[in-house]
Amino acid sequence: MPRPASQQQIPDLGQHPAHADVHRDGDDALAVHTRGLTKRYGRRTVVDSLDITVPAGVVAGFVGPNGAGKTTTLRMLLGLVRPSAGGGRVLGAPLTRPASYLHRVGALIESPAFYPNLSGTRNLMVQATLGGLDPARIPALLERVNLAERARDAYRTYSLGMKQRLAIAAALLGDPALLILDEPTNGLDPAGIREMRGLVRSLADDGPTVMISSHLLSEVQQVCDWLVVIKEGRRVFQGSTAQLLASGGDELVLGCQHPADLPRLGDMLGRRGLNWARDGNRLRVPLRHLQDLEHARGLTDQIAGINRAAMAEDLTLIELTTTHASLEDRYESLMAAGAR
Amino acid sequence: MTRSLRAELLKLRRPSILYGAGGAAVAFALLATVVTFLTAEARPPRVLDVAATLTTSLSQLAGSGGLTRGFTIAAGVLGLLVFVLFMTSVTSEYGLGTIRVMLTRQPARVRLLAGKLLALLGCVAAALLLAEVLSVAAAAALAHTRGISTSAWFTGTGLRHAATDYANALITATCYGVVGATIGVLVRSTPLALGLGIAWLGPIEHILQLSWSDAAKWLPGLVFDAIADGGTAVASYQRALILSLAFTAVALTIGAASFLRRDVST
Repeated sequence: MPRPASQQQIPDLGQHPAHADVHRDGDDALAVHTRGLTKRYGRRTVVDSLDITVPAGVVAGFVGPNGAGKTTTLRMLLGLVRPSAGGGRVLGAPLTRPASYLHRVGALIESPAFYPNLSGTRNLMVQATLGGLDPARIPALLERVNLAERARDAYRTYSLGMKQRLAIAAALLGDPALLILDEPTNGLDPAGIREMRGLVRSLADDGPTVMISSHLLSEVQQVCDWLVVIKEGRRVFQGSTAQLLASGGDELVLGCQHPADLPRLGDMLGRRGLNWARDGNRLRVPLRHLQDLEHARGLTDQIAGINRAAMAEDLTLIELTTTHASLEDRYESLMAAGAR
Repeated sequence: MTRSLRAELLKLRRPSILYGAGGAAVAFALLATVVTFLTAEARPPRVLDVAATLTTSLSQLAGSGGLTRGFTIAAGVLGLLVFVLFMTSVTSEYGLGTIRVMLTRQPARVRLLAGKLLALLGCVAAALLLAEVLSVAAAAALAHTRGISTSAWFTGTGLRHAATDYANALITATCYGVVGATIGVLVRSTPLALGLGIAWLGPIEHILQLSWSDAAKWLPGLVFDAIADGGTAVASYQRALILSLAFTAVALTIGAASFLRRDVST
């Protein structure tokens, strides 16, 4: 299950510009931190001045549509791709020195990659030897991903789900402090997706920071307590799942008995410092505007005040309701709005 | 580098590799030995006859170099096998995507490449040794069928000759292997690398050789082969060795620089 934010002491590193400027002193609390990270291939910019922060200990979703630059970003974090500009730190070490942190990182990038003619065990042996890791952990890891019975079979005989699970076992070889999983459910059937989701949940319970990329918010929202959303190589949101919900999309909807009164109602709202938009016979006010008002005394008081003011101006309200956007709605609106 | 070497050996230590690559090396050496002894002629081959390089006289076989003559002839072909082995060993890492895993486990790219090449070279050295030993055994058996005296073979000179032939075969294989690995690093695609590499070392160099008399002095594949032969009438051993080492050094530098600098986006 996602760990409650309160138990993880997630630093507030959301959208405020000041939070983007994370100093070295704060790096211990950060698993990943990038500043102006950019990757260009010729004239095409794949990752564009990306500032992201992943606090240590969270399960972070790295979300964006296909082609948003997720995999390229992860490749830069893993030292596979050299940034064109910008930089960052992973587990406190600079991106320019991947050797200083990769021994503490486990990763599954894009798709499982193993030697088809070697067994699952032998494939993990190769990786353990290459990484200078203890091969004694291999049987327990294979047991954990439910592959112990097929451990001696050639990798080429595995199903896609088994290949993904072997890749997870490989990523866990070094008992990593940071686990990067790039689209771990890609290509899996619904049962495989459920199985993978359960596995990721159990991994997160063990304490490492987990960073999961996906093009579907629904894939990661159930396991993530921190979200980084990117589009066209740029960050469009970063913060806790609760912050994403609270960041907008909820509205106060007002309707008058007589539609002809709507302009007067709009004037009244305007005098209270509220922006509104007409939607047929209704006016819509973003709840964020009510919460942002300096004199706000709570949402309920604000709405009650609007109702009283309308009555005082002889406006009969037949509708005064709040609508709440789902996480998916917020994500869709972020995608529609584009980078900011 | 040691970790990379040991990991590569783990991959290589499996029946299909041992029986496939090792068996091919032994088979070529044995085939060359059998053909050399069975087709040996009483008269000496004509100087500068292209076909003469594959034809040996009975008197030559009775000399101190006769013991490993078949192995020497096979060394050039074995070099080509090593070229393909090194090249596909690199390109398959890109094709399978395992290069990503390797680089996250061993981010020091030069060490990774060096360990991989050394492991492959170690296997090649062992396969060549086995091929030479079996070739020698076959030569000893075949000598009696052709009435060839073996008195000069098992002398100090004969054994030094055998050791030199082994060293030359290993140098040839190393040169071919490094160039093959470099093409693999640069091209990253097995079909493309095989097409380019084999086309160049096979038909293209030999077609050029027909129209350019000095081709064997300059073209890499022909120069590598000249080392295996202990020098030829066109390219002396010393020239072939220096030029081959220069080609190999340049290839190694280009390959390492490319491996170090280029993004891994496969």
